[in-house]
This record gives sequence, structure tokens and C-alpha cells, in this order.
Amino acid sequence: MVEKVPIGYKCLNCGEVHYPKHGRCLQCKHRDFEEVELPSEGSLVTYTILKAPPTGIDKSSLILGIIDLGEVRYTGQLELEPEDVQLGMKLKAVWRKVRVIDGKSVSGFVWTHP
Amino acid sequence: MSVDEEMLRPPQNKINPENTPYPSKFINLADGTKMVVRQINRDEVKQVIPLFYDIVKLTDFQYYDIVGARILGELLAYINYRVHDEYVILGQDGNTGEVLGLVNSRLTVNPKVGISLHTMTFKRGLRVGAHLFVAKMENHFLLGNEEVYIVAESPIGFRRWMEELRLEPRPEVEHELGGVPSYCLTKENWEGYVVPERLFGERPVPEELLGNCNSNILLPEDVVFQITRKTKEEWFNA
Amino acid sequence: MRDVAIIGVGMGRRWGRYEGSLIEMMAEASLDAIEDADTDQIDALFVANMGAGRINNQTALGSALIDYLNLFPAVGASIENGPASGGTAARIGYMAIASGIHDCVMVTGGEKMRVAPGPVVTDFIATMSHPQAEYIYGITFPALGAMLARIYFNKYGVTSEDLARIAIKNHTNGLKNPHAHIQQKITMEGILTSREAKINNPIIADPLHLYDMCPVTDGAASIIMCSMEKAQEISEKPLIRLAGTGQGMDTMAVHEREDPTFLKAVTHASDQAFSMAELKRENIDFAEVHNAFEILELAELESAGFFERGKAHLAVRNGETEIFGRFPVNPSGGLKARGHPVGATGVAQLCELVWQLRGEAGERQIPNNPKHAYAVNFGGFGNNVVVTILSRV
Ligand SMILES: CC(C)(COP(=O)(O)OP(=O)(O)OC[C@H]1O[C@@H](n2cnc3c(N)ncnc32)[C@H](O)[C@@H]1OP(=O)(O)O)[C@@H](O)C(=O)NCCC(=O)NCCS
Ligand SMILES: [Zn+2]
Repeated sequence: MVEKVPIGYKCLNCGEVHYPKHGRCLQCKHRDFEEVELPSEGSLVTYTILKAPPTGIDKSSLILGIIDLGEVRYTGQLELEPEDVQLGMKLKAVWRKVRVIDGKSVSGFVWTHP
Repeated sequence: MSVDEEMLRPPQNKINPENTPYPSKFINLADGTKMVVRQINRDEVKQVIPLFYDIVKLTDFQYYDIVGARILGELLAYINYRVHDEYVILGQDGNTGEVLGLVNSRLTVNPKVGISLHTMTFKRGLRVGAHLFVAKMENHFLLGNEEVYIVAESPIGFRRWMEELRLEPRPEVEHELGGVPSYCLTKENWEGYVVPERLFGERPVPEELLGNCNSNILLPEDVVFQITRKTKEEWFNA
Repeated sequence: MRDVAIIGVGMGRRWGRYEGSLIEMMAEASLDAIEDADTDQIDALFVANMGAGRINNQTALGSALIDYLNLFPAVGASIENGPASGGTAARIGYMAIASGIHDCVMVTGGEKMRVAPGPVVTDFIATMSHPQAEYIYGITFPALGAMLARIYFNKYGVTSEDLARIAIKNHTNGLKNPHAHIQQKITMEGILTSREAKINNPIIADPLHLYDMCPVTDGAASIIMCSMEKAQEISEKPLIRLAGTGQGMDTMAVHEREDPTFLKAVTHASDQAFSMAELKRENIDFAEVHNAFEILELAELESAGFFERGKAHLAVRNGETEIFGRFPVNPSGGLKARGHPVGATGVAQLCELVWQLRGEAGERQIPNNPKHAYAVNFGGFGNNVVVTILSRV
């Protein structure tokens, strides 16, 4: 199986890469995009260790962060020990179940040691 | 045979025969109050009892009525020598002597196992109950218990003790408060987690604070308001 | 366009937990505003609410409140714009009067949130976040606040102690506000520097603690606006003019903003409101800002242009934002102490501005007859922001 990698949406007119998806380019309002593979490694911009997660998260503590992939940033869960988390650290994306919403389990990117 | 008082009284407290009281301490609360935490004797318990006459009427408010009624019964049993090795610890405002919360417990199911009775906060929102509960656990372990059985009657109690203190389930144990699922605080968890993370307070208590509390067990003017934020009048007339 | 005045304000009983229905709670605030304005001749009602459809199983609140209070023949609608619903509804009310379509408009905001357990309420608020890029990961608003705070700490040297200082200031103000949900003194020792602060003030979303965040509150607030011409005719109170309104937008996903500490929407909304009011920052005597998290009090004051970027915490350290300081902020206690029933907050901010400008704020009155006041109502996590400037005529 091929590993899932983070995807960005590149404007076919001006080349701006977006994440998440928009219906019109944030730079030039063009409507056509192509999906481009982004590097699956990035660096941690900010994070929190959340002690009060919402419904659908079956844990008492959850680490969330924003990861810089160069052209765009991603928000996601971090799979790390709380004491290992550091601003600027390198992280790698893996595809995991992240939450249960309306009884269905939902997958997304989880960031961990490369 | 005539039934005399001695026959009705419980046997001597085995693991604390001298009745050494819990060593008093004080805790800083969020509002700056220095809360004095100390064990109280039978005469002092008598002074606190009237608080519960209002509390037992707090129906539909986070189980204050049932917990209040049970505490009232236990305190009456205690002052009349009808319960074995119970102790009562009070949290008081060190400046005014005002009563902020109360916990009680029994030392021995057997000498190794203590049994937690109740915890009640008279002034909400300051984590008084969380601090006092840990203080009563401290007394169990100071006096040589190796584990303590605990049950919860309210959801907030469950969150505070079972979840926050990471207690172990002991469904096979019949706690004396009835057949509700029992949990246990083990010595290992006590030493490994609760003491470093959740046990607070300083000793000795400055003479002045202790003096204020000893000489003055001040009951809140309107305990119903302190608990529910509605005055006694509003609450009981609604 | 016509000038518009606020002639009546009201907030019902003290915020916190409300036993009755959402409509009853909003009715109490509305009747207070009617009493204050001394008129019930209302042409339109805009109800501000975020989530009754989800958490109270009721929609179309505008119709419901008109029916309940017999405001007929007034017409109405509900306005939903997240936590900025209140400010937005007031802005729409302003437009309705300024354009000449209506003469007299009531705006009532309300939210009954203490109906569900914490994780459910947290989830309801989080439905404002980006569904695919944020929500599915379990992003909550406290988490977004915490991630912003961490950047602030790192970039500008703001500390937990600075946030605690803001909380203490807001709790102090809340103690003087009879409407405030939280009326409790807190001290630095009790919430931060003592060992037991760990229990008293636990971490909720690292680095933010319980006392860095607003509580979950039931509450309602209401204002009545009319044309200045009519206000001059019927109102006996000091006239309060809605001098400026502005609204600004930003990307929905926080990570798409180049610098997350810069709240572009606050800047845009403020610039519009100031230019409309023909006022400068230094003309403003005090502000109510949307401190759902204390870090936002700093970020909004900076993005609004009252302080240089990364400098507002220094003013807090000097006591400048206290009621008797150079530039009082959140004399009501803000969202921290008054509480944050999301749909009601923007309206309640305007109630506070009016009371202060009229000199009716009691113990928390700002001295020296304030004349110009500013409110920022922050929706989403800063992607939709409404600013209002009021002036005593
Ligand atoms: C269980 C108990 C002892 C816990 O007391 P405590 O640690 O002092 O708790 P606090 O009063 O600080 O907090 C109580 C709740 O009120 C909330 N609260 C905070 N400020 C408040 C205020 N001003 N008014 C009302 N509630 C407030 C808190 O958020 C907390 O809820 P949360 O834990 O869900 O966040 C106390 O709630 C109590 O006496 N309950 C009744 C008896 C009972 O249930 N005993 C336990 C049986 S097992
Ligand atoms: Zn483009």
C-alpha cells in the first residue's frame, strides 16, 4: 500500500498552493486547481496539549499542532509524548483514525517523529 | 441484663488507639483564602451539624440532599459513639473561621483497609472538595492503611475522585454505603501519583490562623446561596 | 444616511445558569431594554444566537420572541454569525435604521449553553472551525487560543503571569458588575504562584489554564436603537450615538494566516469603524474586547491599533487597562467574568458601553465622563469580526 501524503491545491492560473481547498484561488480567484503532493515532513509552528477534548475523541489528553510544510501549513494531531514536543521540531505525517463524528470514524493526518 | 452505654459503644480504635488527630495544615485557595485543614472533635462536630438541616433539603442539586443526609447521620453516630473509628476533617477560612467544606472517613474495614465516607463543599468553585478529599486520604495512609475503598454518589464526585485520582475499580467489594461500584486508592497510586501531583498544604499552620479556626467555627450565613447561588428564601420558596 | 442612537439597554437577571427557556431568558433582557428606553414601539427585532438549533432544539428565534412578547406588528429574524452574532445583529439593526427602512429596532442576543456536558458544548463551539482541516482533528477553541498564546509567549515574551494579571483585573471588575456570572476574587498566589495553584487553576489547553478562559454561561442582552431624530424627541437619557461600525474577515483555517498573532479582521473592522466615526485611537476612553481567552485581550488591543504589536502586555503590567488606568479595558469583567453566552456577548458589550457613557455603571464606573467607547466582537477564531464605536452626544 502506498503511504498517504499531504495534498495541496495548486492554482492552475497563478501557481499558488492552498490547503485546505477553496473554490476560488485566494490570490487570483481562478477556479481550476490540481492536487499536488506536499512533502510529508515539516516543522512544528505551535502546539497545545489539550486536557479537555471534545466529544468523539476517546482520550483524556490530546496534542494538537500546526505544521509548516513550506508552501502551506497543516493543522493536525501529534503522536508524541508530551515531554518530547518542541517548537520547530521536525515531524512526519502518517494517516490515522483521528476522531469519531456522528458515530463514524474519520481519518486524517497525525504527525510524529520522522 | 441491663443494657448499659458501654455495651453499645464500638470497640477501641485499633490502628489509632491514642486517637492522634490529623496534623493540621493550610492550603492556598484561588481567591487568596488560606484554608486551614484540621480534624475536629465531638464538641466541634456538634457545632457543624446544624448546617446540614438546610443541606438535606437541597433536592435536585447535584445530590447535596442525599450526601447531606448521610453525612448528618454519620456525624450524629459519631458524636453519640455509635460508629467505629470515624474521623471528621474540616476546611476553614483561616482568617474568619468560616466552614468551607467537610470530609469524613472510617479507618478500618480491617487495619489495612480504610473506608472513605463523604466529601462536601459548602463554598463552590474553589476546589475546596478536591483539596479536602486528598487530605482525608493522607490521614488514612499516615495512620497505616494500605488502601482505601471509595464510592461516588454524584457525577462530579466521580470525576473528582475516580477520574482525577485515577482510582482502580473494585467491583467485587461491598462498600458500606451500599452496593454501588467500589473503587480503591492503593498505596502505590497514593505514593506514585497523588502525593507528588495532588497533595498540597503547608505545616505548621501559623498560630494566628489556627487560633481563628479553633475559637470560631463560623457557619456560612446562607449555605444554600453559597452552594446554589440562590438564597435560602428563593430556593425553598421556588 | 441617518444618524442612529441607542436609547435602551438591558440584560435581565445575573448571568450564569438560567432555569427557564431560552425565549424566557431573552424576553427578560428585552423587557429591561424596553423599560430603559421607555418605549415598546419597535419596528423590527433581530435576535442574535449561535446554536439554539443544535443545543436547545429551537430555530427561528426572531419569530418566537416577537410572538412571546407580543411585539407585533414588529417584524424580525434571527442572525447567526458565531460568537460575533451579537455585534453583527446590532450592525444590521444600524443599517436598517440608517437606510430609513425602519425607525426603531430591537436587537436581543441570547444563548443557553449550560444544557449539555462540557465536551458537548466544546464540540458545538468547534463546529465554527474548518470542517476538513481543523474540526475533524478535535480542534477546540481553547486549543486555538492555546496555540496562539504559545506563539505570543515565544515571539513577544508574554508569560502566564501576564495572562493571570489580566484575569485578576477582569475578576476584580466582575465583582463590581451585578450582571457578571463570575463574581469571585482571585489572587496571583491562589491561581499561579502557589504549589496548589496546580489544582486551583489546572491546565486546560497547555499553556492556558482554567482562569485564562471564559466560563460556559447562560445569558441574554438587549438594546433598542432608533434614528437620532426620534431619539431626540422621545429619549430622556443622555444620547448615545452609534458613531462607527466595521466588519472584517480573514481565512477560516487559522493555519492559512501568514502571522496568526496579527488579527487582520480586527484591524480591518477597526479601521472602518474609526474612519466612519471620524475618530482616532487616542480619542477612545475605554474598550470592551472579546477576551474568550485572555491572550485575545492582548492580541485584539494590538491588532485594533491601541498598542504596538507585542506591547499590550507591558501596559497591563503597568495597570493601564484597569478601571482607573489610562485606558480601561473590559470594565464589565469582559467575557472572562461576565461570561460568554456566545450569541449574547456582542450585545452585552454594547450595553456596557452605554452604561459607562451615560455614567450609570455604578461601582465600576470609569471616571472623568468617558465620551467615546469601542467594542470588538470576535467571531470564528478571528475570521469574522465586528467593531462598534459609540459616542455620547
Ligand atoms: C464533589 C464536591 C465535593 C467537589 O467539590 P470541589 O472540588 O470543591 O468543586 P468546586 O466547587 O470547586 O467545583 C464544582 C463545579 O462547579 C463549577 N463551578 C466553578 N465555579 C462555580 C461557581 N462560582 N458556582 C457554581 N459552580 C461553579 C466548577 O467548574 C466545577 O465543575 P467541573 O468540575 O465540572 O468543572 C462538591 O461538588 C460537593 O460537595 N458536591 C455535593 C456532594 C457530593 O457530590 N459529594 C461527593 C460524593 S462522592
Ligand atoms: Zn491563482
